[in-house]
Amino acid sequence: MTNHWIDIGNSDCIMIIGSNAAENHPISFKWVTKAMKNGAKLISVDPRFTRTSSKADIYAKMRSGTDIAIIGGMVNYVVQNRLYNEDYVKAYTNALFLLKDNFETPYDRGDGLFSGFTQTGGSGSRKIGMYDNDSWKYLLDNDGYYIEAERSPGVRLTLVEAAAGIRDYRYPDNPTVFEKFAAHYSRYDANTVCSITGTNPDVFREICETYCATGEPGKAGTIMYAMGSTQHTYGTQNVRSYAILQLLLGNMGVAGGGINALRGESNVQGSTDHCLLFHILPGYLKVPKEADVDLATYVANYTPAKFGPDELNWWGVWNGVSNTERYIVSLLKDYFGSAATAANDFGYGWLPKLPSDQKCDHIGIFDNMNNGIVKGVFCMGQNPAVGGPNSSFERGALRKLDWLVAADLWETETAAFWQFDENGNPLTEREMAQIPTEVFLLPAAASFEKEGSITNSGRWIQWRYKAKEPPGNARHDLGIVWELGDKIKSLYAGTGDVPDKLNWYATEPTADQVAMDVNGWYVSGPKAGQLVEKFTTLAADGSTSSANWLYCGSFRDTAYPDSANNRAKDTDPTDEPNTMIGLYPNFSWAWPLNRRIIYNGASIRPFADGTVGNTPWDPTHPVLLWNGSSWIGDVNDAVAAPGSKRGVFIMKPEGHGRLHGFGRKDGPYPEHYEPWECPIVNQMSPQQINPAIILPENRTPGGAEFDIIATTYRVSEHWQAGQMTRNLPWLGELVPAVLVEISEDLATELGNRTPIQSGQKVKVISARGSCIGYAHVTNRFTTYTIGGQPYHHIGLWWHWGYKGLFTGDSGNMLTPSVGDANTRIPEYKAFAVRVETV
Amino acid sequence: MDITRRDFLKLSGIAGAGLMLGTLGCDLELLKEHVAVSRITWAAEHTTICPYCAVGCGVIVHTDTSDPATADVVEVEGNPDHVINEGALCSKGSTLYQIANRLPTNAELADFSSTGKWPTGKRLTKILYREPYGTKWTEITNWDTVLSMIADRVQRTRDANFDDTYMRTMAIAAFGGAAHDNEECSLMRKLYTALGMVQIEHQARI
Repeated sequence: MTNHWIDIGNSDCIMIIGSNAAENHPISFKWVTKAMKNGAKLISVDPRFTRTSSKADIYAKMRSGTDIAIIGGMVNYVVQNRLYNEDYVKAYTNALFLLKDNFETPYDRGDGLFSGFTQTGGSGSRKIGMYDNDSWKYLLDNDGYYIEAERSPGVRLTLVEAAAGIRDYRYPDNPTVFEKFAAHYSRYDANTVCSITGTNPDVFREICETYCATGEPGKAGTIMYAMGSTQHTYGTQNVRSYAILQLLLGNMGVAGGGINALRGESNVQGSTDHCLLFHILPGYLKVPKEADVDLATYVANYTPAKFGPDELNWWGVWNGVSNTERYIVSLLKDYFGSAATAANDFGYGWLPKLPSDQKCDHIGIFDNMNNGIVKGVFCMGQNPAVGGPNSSFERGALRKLDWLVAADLWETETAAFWQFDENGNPLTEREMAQIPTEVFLLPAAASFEKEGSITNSGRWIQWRYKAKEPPGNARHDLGIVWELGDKIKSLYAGTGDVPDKLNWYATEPTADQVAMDVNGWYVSGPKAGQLVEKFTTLAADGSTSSANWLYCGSFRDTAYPDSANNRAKDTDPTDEPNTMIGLYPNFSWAWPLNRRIIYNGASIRPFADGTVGNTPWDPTHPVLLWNGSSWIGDVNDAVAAPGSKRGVFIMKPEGHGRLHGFGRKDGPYPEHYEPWECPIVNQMSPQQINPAIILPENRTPGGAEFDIIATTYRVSEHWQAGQMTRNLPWLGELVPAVLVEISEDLATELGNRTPIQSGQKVKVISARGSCIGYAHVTNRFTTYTIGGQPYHHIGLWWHWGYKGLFTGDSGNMLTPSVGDANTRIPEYKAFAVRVETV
Repeated sequence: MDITRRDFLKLSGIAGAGLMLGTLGCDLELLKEHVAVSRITWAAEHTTICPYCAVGCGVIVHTDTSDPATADVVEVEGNPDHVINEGALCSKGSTLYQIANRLPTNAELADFSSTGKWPTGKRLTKILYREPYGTKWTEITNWDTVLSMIADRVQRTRDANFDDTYMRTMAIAAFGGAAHDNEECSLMRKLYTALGMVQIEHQARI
């Protein structure tokens, strides 16, 4: 979340899309409701009429997988009706930046592709390939800086002029971002959009009018989204669509605005910050690639040059040294301690390098496992046998392992895979005896049986205290990981191999000790032995260590390291110094630097010339105030003094929000494609699917017999792969079995003379497997009319498995293992099935 | 005497009765006395954050004694002093009590010793081991033994499948976990990296 839960209460309009927050983040609705009591409107966009929809002022039905189309239609509505916040867009986004003259969009080409595409696979409407993004990049001047379009010397274009194709007087061949952007989105007219999404055109117009009214300066709209947005082959571009709409309306950086990912696991924010992910190291540093042969190469490759003379460019050079270098060197000092010296690149060479195919993501690991490459697996607190895509395949792949180490509170489906076949049927002893895998199942401690911090969706780091000892031989993971590391280190003692160099604790550390190492230390110099105060004091010369630069500053009184000074433990509910918008800066600690609203410089109205102003857009909800000499309120996001030309989006080399981006693999603007497996032909272009995805190994989408659109979702009473809820009688009694939600029309069609009834068993079948559940016949799903043709849409839950107190088939036995072009998040949310009665 | 927000919420369980008594002219002080002897009065309070979704709701876990070594969880409630949830919890958060108390009985443990099947739906309290080609779980009684065995497997697999050019092994992968504490995640990332693992993933990817 760029903002945080309480801040939702400051909003004038809330759009919830790709999320059923009322059901899956129930307490978030305390703040949604607060906003509504103050007059805010709530819009729910969802394939199904959900609990969230039931509370909304407007419910817009949208076929699963068509976010880019519906948001694209809203963007087009904003542009056509000039509802953008013009001063915001011109000052804070790249709308007026000049582009290269060879840049083309699907508007120019008509084939659904951007310039730079090379086909490497697929054929016809299912082309697959890679983009060379050179033509997407800015036109830069001789200094390497962006150029803002002027109509005449010193007079910037207006957005209307830019959209109309009027160009910079100096560069008649070069379009502005806004020219290409407006043309691209002109194809997303209301009729086309509604024909793709199945939304009623009147309702579509209503959500456009209601939400886009937040483009008025001083108004704030927020977007809440979750896995319904990300779990698509174009999930990243779905989220980019939201960000683009928010930038146009001036909703980023303001109270009650932002784009807010509703995280589904208590510490999925923190586990991502610490980068239990193949492509990043703690603090979102890049994992080195094979070509990053030494520290200097790594630093050169990941220290971006700034695109403007006044920009801060946070990953770049700051005060003469690359921040990327400060952070990686401080991380290496934490990892390798005194073994990391300037003479040996601080141990950079000991870091593993990613293979060139980067097949290290969830889907890739299971393919590697199935192919016999992966032989041993740690699976701590995760249950892919239920939660993974195409889960029957993943269960089968586990059988190829030599060893599996699982740690959990319960005997999970993953840990017990050897007791069942891929479809969850019990194996005989004879069958079990053919599975070679050695399995260790370690009993872990529950959250209140240990001490430590977790980071919520709003980036608040909060401490959990220990209430009791874990039961029996159960143990907290910190101790398990420490002792395992200790034993491994002993095995390598004296070898000079990397584990021998690992900077590890001589005795089992407390959570506070690790938290201090995460915050970081001065390891030499006058402050040696003190904690670092903030990440701006991290050094690239080996004099500081930090296991995560983003968490620098999480201790106070850094000269006196003390567990009592851990700010994750703060619970002072006074909302000082800013008492108007509920920042609660003394309650927990938020990264970065206790900043509660990211990019908060954008909450300030720029001066007419586009420089930093001195008053908030909304004086009744100020995030920052200029007191004549400094910014007060929230911790300012390195906002320069009024009159500065520095952009407010400081993490970007150009300092400006990207209406036009060039960092994604599948295009500078979102473009609508259909899901990898979908019975519907793309009406927007001849390109059926996202052309930049990696096709799954040896798998093809289901054929014409799978003509029903399916999606998966969760219920309030169950959580993720189910081990934390299906083993609890109270929750199991509330929701004891798998339901398959189907429309009344489909119930009639499936029934033989009489419609099938709720409670009747049905079988849902995809090209990958089948899943039996109880029919739940409602009018919450209705027939979709897409391109004039009727389609059924169903949904089912996926929390179930073959272990635990309450069991059933996981909906993931149906889902495909094909990933997003950028993140490789599987496309759980849109696939094709057929349904039979049982 | 002021009634704090927390006192008020403690009263809420008998709020209906309070209203009725109030209309009958009953003194609120009596209600406060009732609360004073309710079952959580003598319990130890420990604050925690809900382990389910990432709203980050505050929770109070009540134990029968303040000594963690012998404490049992007797009650769980939303923390009324927490600024996000203000005392409210959803169906899942309210059920933490059962996570603490879904423990195997002695009879079930005896059954496990003979059958090698862990009792359905009960917390793991023992270290379980399935040997290659095995048909049941057996117990490993101490951490030193099991972690030594795992360290041995890690070393053998890593060293037999290590690419010295790129300092990596493709033979070991890790999943999990978004429910771990930050400090645990930090140590896991560090250990896996030092082993040369590049296949490191958790729930954020799926």
